[in-house]
Order: sequence, then C-alpha cells, then structure tokens
Amino acid sequence: MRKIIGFVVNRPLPVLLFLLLVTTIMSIGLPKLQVEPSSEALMPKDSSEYRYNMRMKQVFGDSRLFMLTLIEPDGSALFSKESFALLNELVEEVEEFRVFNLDIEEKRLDTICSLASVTYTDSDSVQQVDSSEKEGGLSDEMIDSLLLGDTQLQNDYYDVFDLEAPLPTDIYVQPIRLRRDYQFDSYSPVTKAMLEQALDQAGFRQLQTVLSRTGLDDVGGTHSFSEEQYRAIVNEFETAFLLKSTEAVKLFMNPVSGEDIVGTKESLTPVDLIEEDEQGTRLLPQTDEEFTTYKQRLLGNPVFENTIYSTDEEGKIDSLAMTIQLQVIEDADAASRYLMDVITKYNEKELRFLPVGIPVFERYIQEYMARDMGLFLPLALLVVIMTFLLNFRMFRGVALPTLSVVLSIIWTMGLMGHIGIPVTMVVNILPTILVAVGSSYSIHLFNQFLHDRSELRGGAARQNLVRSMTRISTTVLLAALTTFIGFSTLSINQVVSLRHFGIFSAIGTVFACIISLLLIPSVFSLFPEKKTNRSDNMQNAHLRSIIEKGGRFATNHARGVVILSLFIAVIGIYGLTRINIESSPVTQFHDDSYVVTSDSHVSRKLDGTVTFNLMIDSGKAGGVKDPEFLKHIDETAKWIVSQKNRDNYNLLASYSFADVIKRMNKAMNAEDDAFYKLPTERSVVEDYIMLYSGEDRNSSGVPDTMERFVDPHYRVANITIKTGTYNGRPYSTKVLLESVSAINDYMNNHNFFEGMKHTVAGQGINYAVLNRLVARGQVVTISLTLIIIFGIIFFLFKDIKAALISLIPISFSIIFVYGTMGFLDIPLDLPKSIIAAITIGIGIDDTIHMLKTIRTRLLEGLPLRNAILASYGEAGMAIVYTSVALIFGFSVLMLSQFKVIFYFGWLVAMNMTATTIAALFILPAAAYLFNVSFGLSKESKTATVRSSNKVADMLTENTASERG
Amino acid sequence: MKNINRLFIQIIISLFLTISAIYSQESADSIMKKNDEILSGQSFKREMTLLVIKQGVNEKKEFEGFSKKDGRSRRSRMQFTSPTEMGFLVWDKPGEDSQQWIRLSGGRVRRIASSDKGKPWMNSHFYNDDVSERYIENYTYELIGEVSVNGIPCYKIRSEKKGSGATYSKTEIYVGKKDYLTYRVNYYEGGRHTKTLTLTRYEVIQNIPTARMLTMERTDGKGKSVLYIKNIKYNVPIDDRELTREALAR
Repeated sequence: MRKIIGFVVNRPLPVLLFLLLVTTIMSIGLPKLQVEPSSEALMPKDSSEYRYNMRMKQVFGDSRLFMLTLIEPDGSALFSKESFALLNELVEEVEEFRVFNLDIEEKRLDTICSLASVTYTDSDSVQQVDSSEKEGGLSDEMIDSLLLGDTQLQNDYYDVFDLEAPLPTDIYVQPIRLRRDYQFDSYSPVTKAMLEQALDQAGFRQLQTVLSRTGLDDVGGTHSFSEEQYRAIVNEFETAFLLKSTEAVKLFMNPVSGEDIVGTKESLTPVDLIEEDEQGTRLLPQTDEEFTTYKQRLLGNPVFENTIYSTDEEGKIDSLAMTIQLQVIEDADAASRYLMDVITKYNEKELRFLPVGIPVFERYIQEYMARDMGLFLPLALLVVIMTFLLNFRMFRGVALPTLSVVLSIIWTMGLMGHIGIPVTMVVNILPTILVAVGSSYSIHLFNQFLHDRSELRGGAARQNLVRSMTRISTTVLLAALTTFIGFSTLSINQVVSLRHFGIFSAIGTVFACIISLLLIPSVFSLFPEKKTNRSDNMQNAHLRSIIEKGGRFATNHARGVVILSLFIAVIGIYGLTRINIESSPVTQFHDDSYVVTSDSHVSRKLDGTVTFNLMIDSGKAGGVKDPEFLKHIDETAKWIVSQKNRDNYNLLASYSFADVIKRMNKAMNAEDDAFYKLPTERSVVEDYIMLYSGEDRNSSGVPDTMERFVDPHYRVANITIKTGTYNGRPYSTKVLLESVSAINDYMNNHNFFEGMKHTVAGQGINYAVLNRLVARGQVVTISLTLIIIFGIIFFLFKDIKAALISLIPISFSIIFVYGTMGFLDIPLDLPKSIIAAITIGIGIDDTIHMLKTIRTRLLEGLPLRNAILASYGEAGMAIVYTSVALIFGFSVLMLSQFKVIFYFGWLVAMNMTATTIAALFILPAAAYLFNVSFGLSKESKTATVRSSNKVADMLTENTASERG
Repeated sequence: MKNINRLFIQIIISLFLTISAIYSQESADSIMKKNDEILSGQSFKREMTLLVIKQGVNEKKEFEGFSKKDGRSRRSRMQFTSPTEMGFLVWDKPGEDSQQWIRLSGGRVRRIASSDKGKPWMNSHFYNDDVSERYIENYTYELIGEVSVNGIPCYKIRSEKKGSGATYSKTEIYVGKKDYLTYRVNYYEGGRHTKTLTLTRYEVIQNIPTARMLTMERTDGKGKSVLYIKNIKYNVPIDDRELTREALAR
C-alpha cells in the first residue's frame, strides 16, 4: 500500500491525468443510460413465469401492453354532438397507429419538410424477410413437394407450455424504414399558421400533439419557429411515422370505430359501431333518437360492458371507455407515451380522459425516476457538502471529497451506460448511495490529513504525506471491503435489477475507494499546505461530552442495556413476522398521485386495470372448437369472477373465446338474448369462425380479434383475467399470488380438465413472482452477509466473542427497522429489500471502527472498561460525523415521487441511526458484559509489544497513529 | 449539294425512326386490352390445391372449381374436398358488385357482405375480392415502365379502381411484352406495397395460356398462399344449375 501511495504522492500529475482520462471515457457512457420501467427488466430470465410469459406473448399478444381509458363527461353531456365530435377526433388520431397509410404519412412528412426547405436522404428500408426464413415458413422446394409430390403437410406445433424450448427471438414488428436524418442547412423559417394551413385535417391534429410534446403548444399563429424548434417538430413527426409504420396499435376497442358482430340471415360480419359514408366520414349520432339507438347497440353486446361502457347504479351508461393493446414492438414504451399524449391532449375539452394500465404506470415510473434523479443527486451532494463544511471548514475539505464522490458516480453510471445496464427504480438510488458511501472514505482521508497537517510542510512534506496517507488507507480499504461484500451479496439475487444494483454498488464502492486514495493524496502533494490559520480538527466538545456520558451509562448498566436491547429485538422479531411483501406497481406511488387515484376510480368503473392470463391446453389441434371444452372454459371464466373471488382476490373480469362464440350465436339468431349461449354442435362453432372472416393483419392464422383468446391451432384457450382496486383494496401482488393458488386448485380439481395442461402467466404474474424472489433474496442476502462479516471480524481479531458481538449493531438495526415495517404495515418491496445489504455494508464500518479503537486501548494496557470509555472521544466522534452524513444523505430520498422510495429513505435513515446507537452503546455494553478479549492475551494487554495477530495489529497501529 | 442531300436524308430517316418509336410505344390501355382479350375459355373445370403458409400454422386444402361465362358475365363455384367441405360461389356481372356466397361445413349457405370483400378468402392471403372477375373498364391504367420479371420483358402498369370502395389503393401489373400475359401484380393498401401475386408455370392448354401456379405473398415475409392447378379442362359443358346457391348448399 505504501508503494502505491508513494507513487501517487510522488507523481501526482500522471495520477490526476489518469483520473481525468478515465472520467472522460466513463462520462461518454452517461448519455447511453436507458431508463427501464418495465417489470420484465426485473424478472430472472430463467424463471418459469418469465418463460411462460414470453412464449404466451408470441401467441396471445403482450398483456403488459394494455392501456385502458375511462371517458367521462366534464361539463358537458356524455351523449352529445360535441362530445362525440371530440371523441371521433381522438379515435381518428389513434386509428392512424392501427392502420398505416404510407401515402398520407409520406405526404405529411414531405409537406412539413418542403415548407421549411428541410431536406433528407432516403434511409434504407428494413430488409424484408423471405417467408421461408420465418418460423413456420416453407421453402420453395417444400412447397413443390407438397403440391406435386406425396409429401404430407406437417405443422410444427408451437407449444406454449414447453419451457425447455428456446424463447422466441425476433418477435418485434419492425418499422417500414430506418430513421431519416433530416438536413436543416437551407432552413427557411415557418410560422405556426403556415404549418397549420399546409397540413391536412389529421395532420393538423397531429401537429397539436407534436407541439404539446415539444413544449410549443402555447405559441401563437404568427410565431416563427427557430431551426431548433422546427427540428424538434420534424423529429416528432418522424417518430410518429415510424411508430405508425409498425401499426403500433394492435387492438383498439372504442365506442366510435369499435366493431360489433352483426349477423343477418345470410352473413356474420364485424361492423363499425358507428358507420361511415362512402367517403369514409363517420356518421356520428346527432339526435336523441340516434343516441338512443347507439346506446341500445352498446347494451346489446355483453362483452362491451366495462370494456366500452360502464353503467351507474340504475344501469344507465354514465361513462365510456377505450382499450388499446399495443403491438409487440421494440419501442412499445415510446408508442404508449405518444398515445398517452394524444389521449390527454383532449382532456381540456368536453370530456375527461383517464388512461390507466401498465403502460401508464411505467410512464409515470419513468417520469418520476427522472425527476428523482434530478433531485436526489444535487440534494445528497448538498447534504454531504454541508457535512464536509461543518467537519473540515476549509475549501479543500469540501471540494476534494465532493469531487471524489462526483467522479465515483460518473465512473459507475458511465460504466453502466457503456455496458448497457438499464436504470430501474432500484438502480436509480445508486448515485445517492454512492454519495453517502464515497463521502465516508474522503472523510477518513481528510481527517487523517488534518491530523497530520503539521508534519506536511517543509522539506519532508512528501515523505510525511506518504506515511500519513498509508496509515489511513488500510482503514479505508477495510471499510470499502466490508461495504463491497455487503453489496456484492445482492449480486446473487434472482431479481435482475437487484443484481445490477448489487454489482454496480459494489463496483461503485471500489471506484469511490480508488478515487479517494488517488485524488486526495495527489492533490495534497501537488498543492501542499502553506500555513495553518486555525487549530486542527474541529471537535465538538459538547457532542463529545454527550456520547461519553452515554458510553459511561452503557458500561455502568451493561446488563440492563443488553437486556433492553434483547427486549426491543424480541418485539422487533414479532413485528418482522407481520411484514407483508408487495411488488404491485400501484403501491409504489403516493396515495394522492394520479396513478393511485385514477386506478382506483377506473378499476371501479371498468372492473380492473391489470390483466393476466389463464392458458388451458385442450390437448389436440382444434380442441378449442369442441362445444364441451368451450362450455367448461365458459364456466371457468364465470367462476373466476364469482363474488367470492371478487371479494377474496380482486378478480374482477374475465373474457374467453366462449364469449366470442356466444356473441356470434346471438347475432346469427336475430339478436335474441336467449341465444347468447354456446352452440351444442362443433360444426356450428366452425362455421361461425369461418363465416366471421375477420382481419388477420399479422398472418398468424387466427383473426386479429380472436387472437388473444385462442392459438392458431385452436388447441390452447386463453382466458384474460382483469384485476384491480376493489372496495378500496388496491391491486396487490400478495392477493394475486393467493388468487393464482385458488385458480390452480380449481383447475386441478376440475374433472374435465384432468390431463390438460394449464398455467397462469402475464404481466400481473410477473409482479407477483417478484414477491417470492424478494422474500427469498432477503433471507439469502442477510444470512450470507452476516456469515461473511462474522468471518472477517473473526479473521481480524481471532476472537469468536468479538466476531459474535460485531453482529449485534447490524442485526439489531435490521430487526428494529423490519419490525417497525411490520408494525406500521409498511410492505417489503424491491427497493426496501436492499436495506439489509446497505445496513450491513455501511453499518459494519462503525462496528469495526469502534472495536479496533477499543482494541488499541487494550493494547496500551487499559482495562476493558477504560479502553471502551477512551474510545468514544476518537472513534465515537468519527462515527457520529459519518453517520450524520449518511442519515441526512439518505433522508434526501424522502423527497421522492414514489411512496416506496420515500419509505426507503426514511427506513435507511432510521437504520443508520439505529446502527450508530447500537455501535456506540449496545456494542460496548455487550463487549464489557461478556468481557471480550479481542484476541489479546493478558500479557499482550499489558505489554506494548506486538501480538501475533498481525492484521489486527496493523489496524490498531493505524488507529493509534490516527489518534496520534 | 451532295452533302445537303445526305443531311436531308439523314434528317428524314431520323424523323421516321423517332415517329416509329413513338407510335410503337403502346398505351397502357391498349396493353391491358390485349391482356384482357387473351383467351380464358367459355368455361372450365379444374382441380386445385390451396396451400396457406402462415406464421402460426400451415394448411393444405383441395378443391374443384368450375366456371362458365355468359357474355361478359361469369359464374364460378369452388367446392372444397379436403380437409373441409366448404364451398364458394361467385357471380360477376359488368357494372355490378360481385356477389359471393360461402357454404359452411354444416351445409348452410351465407352471403359474403360487400364490406367483407377485403377480408381473407378461405383464411388465405387472397382476399374475397381476388377471386372475383376484374373488369377492365372499372380501372384506370398508366404505363410506368418496362422491367424484366424472371427474365421476361414486361410492361409495368399502374392501375387504380375508378370511384370509391376499392379493396386496394392501387396495383402494379407486369404484363409480358411479347405475349401480354400477366406475370406479376403488386398490391398496395393504404399506399403501402403489402402483397405480391406471382403467376408462374405457364402452359398452353387447349390453346389457352394457363398459369398453373399463383403465389400471393406478403411483402413483410409473414406468409404466402399458393394456388396450384393440378388439372384443367376448358370449354366443357357445365349445367347452369351447378352454379347456383342451391347447388352450393348440396
């Protein structure tokens, strides 16, 4: 270590240049950081639930991508000309994402470009793939053989239930071409009015959305767009073009362009709820009579209830609704954000639109994460700067530790950007943690500098600096090592984001340690201390007096302190048993947030906001068409939403293929309600499917409207289940897990389904699975870390008693905090699951600091009680200062937009307080009560010679030199 | 003087060649007229195979087809034999919308609504509209180039349906320069090239050039449907009663 420090002190410039170079390289990675709000990013890729969900996604679509919107009157009648005109505008704007018209979109782009003399070179089209290369594709030779030879057609069955099969790749629909690079060299300014006039009606609507997304919605008609503003507008149009070309909206159920099934004597066909004239203009209802007819049409299809309309207590329609299912595209998040902007744009008029669902949760998660990131870092830095200022009261004492912390954040986050690690809600906390952790290393180094500053002037300044920094470096390294271990244990967690957090917080700890050890000594060497204007090391005598009194009390009443601690721990353990684990997205937000209030309201009106699926394998191709199978599917779907299941499990709605067939049967029988039932003959079911002849836009083999209910072989049926807030009880992953058990029990005990495979999968299940992983991860992390810490302390002191009592402060604080969570009904979730690792990783520093100081005093020959009391003035003060920085640093997180992060900040701050109190009072009391020898024999305690315990001695030597 | 004469002759020859070239450039309408006039027989009976290749599942269907002309009107019936017993009846008449019926497996006959003309035919990549007669006068044509299709020099003609209600926003038809046969058709929906029909394995059967294989392929590579004529006989007697709804229902 001395050699390294010697190199740093003797060659400060190359070291600083090295730091600058690495910082530059790492900072290039920062813009590459991607925020990932999806729960899929958290899921272990080898879990059965993840694999089921991925396989299901290819067949039945992505249950994550459902966005519901409740439409309520806002100062106007719901069924009025004005409201429907507005609704129609919204629907037309969204429809452009469902049915892509290349001519119209190209023309629109050309218009906005030519108007401002913006040019572009055509980008490459996305290469079309030959069907023979696609899954299920046949080569020309095979086709010849099938048509002309005797070869029998063999269908490769895509078994959703085959978890061993490789996961599908290339499931994403690609845009029609790559993103264009627009040139603004000859840009001629354009006013808003000119642009509005040049665009077609739909283009005008799109412009309003684009202006609102670019923050230009308030500009007047005469406003002339700057080149930068126009570039943003063109890029937004380009984004919309590319999204539309993927037909990003896969399914769009709405009260205007939504389809109903209409049967006549001769045909069964999907028809628009509101018809269009020959020019494609929608014939919106105008009169009361027309609205009455329209309402009757809605009420005539039971599937529309709570999907397209909702009723009041009297059964009258009081609100409408839209459901958007997004296409499986890589940029689904961008699509959902754009569509949310489209929907909310219309909020200022006659109707109120409340979008909810996983895409909405994820959008808010993303926005709030960005806001948190912008808030946490500066505030946490401010807090530690204040701590540095109070502690050191000199410019370098603030600037160097701050710089060291900032660099460690740049290195860590930049590395994540380079590697492509996504920023999740948990990873978002990382910079704040690095501020807290990194600052303690700088405090150690700077404290040492202040202590030895009188020796750091004159001719031998450099040699003395090397000696001074070497003394403290072992302490810093040991502190970093324990923190590294604490965080590293998270890297074995199955939850991907926790694993990422564990790995990169551990790496960040190493970075913070390296940077502190390189930066601070090299700057001291380059700019040596000229003169001292004030007394060294500002100690707070009052504070010192308080903690010393506390220490005396702890040793005087050691038995009482230990018994009281045990009593608190027992109560804490009881609280711990009451703790709930929760991973649902709604519970992450504050109760008064849009997400929670809208989810509760919409869930009540539309029977849930989050979907998951029950897939049942009939066991044979075409098995789903069997009326008997359909009957049992129908019964199962009804059982799922039985009152008991609503009350117990928040299972609020279910839809199945049986509903589609029942609706067709009714349509084919003159809309007689008595025929809203399943046909008894298989041929009739087959006829309905063939007669319906719906669109199959993705060539899956099943009409698009049936795709989410049945696979292309008509072998596997999928029941879509909706859950959400019910009777004031929010959608809960704990309850959902119970509901999955109940569904599995029902299926396993149902005679008809005996021998048939079934599984529950989907986005909701992803969240529920995280619960299990969080619980399992907690036990593993805590156990593993405690064992490792025990091993380290035992290795250091060669004393089993010392190793055991070293676990007291961290164990006490973990039990205290988790017990508090249990009593206050604060659920354990992903962010909170890292509290234990933080407690152990950071909290152990206090313990080690206290123990090694006591040992030093013992080595000096002091009796144990005196050694303990003498340690307060030195280790006690340092512990208090670093703890204050940590407590206030973590308290910054209480300003989070997320409820879970608020509690996380509060609990970690409380944890740090508990760890500090435990290290200062419970640990010494226990050491005194159990007469811990710290690996020292009686002789060595009284002798000033070194014992055989070299590591411990090295530490105590450092402590002694720190103390002077 | 001699030079002047030579120059004059050269000008005359050049002018003649230019005018000849202009006049030899056929108009799109005349090309399509010749294409339309190619014999297709007053009637025919054929056995066909339909192979539907989709992402999730492939299907092979066998059917018999017979068709008869009455002036410019045509009635056609397709009777599936394997694996389904469904049938399809088409009545085409100039100036009127095509009428189509489907026979379901239980024997019931249902009419295909005109709004369903753009829906898949028999769950294939052909639309119901594709199995109807295409009357030349219902479309506008524009010659947009000359290209080679599988080594055959072709005219490339853009075609759009007159009036409203078109299933496709436009088509590009590739017609052989020598034989005026159709070799390829590009279909556009919403301005986007979505499907390509390729006609191959032309044979002259009973003096009628016949493409044995018609392949309708999605441009995004997500599947194709192949219609293959196993055998065909032209100008065979067909009872009109075989081309009615009642016959379809049997």
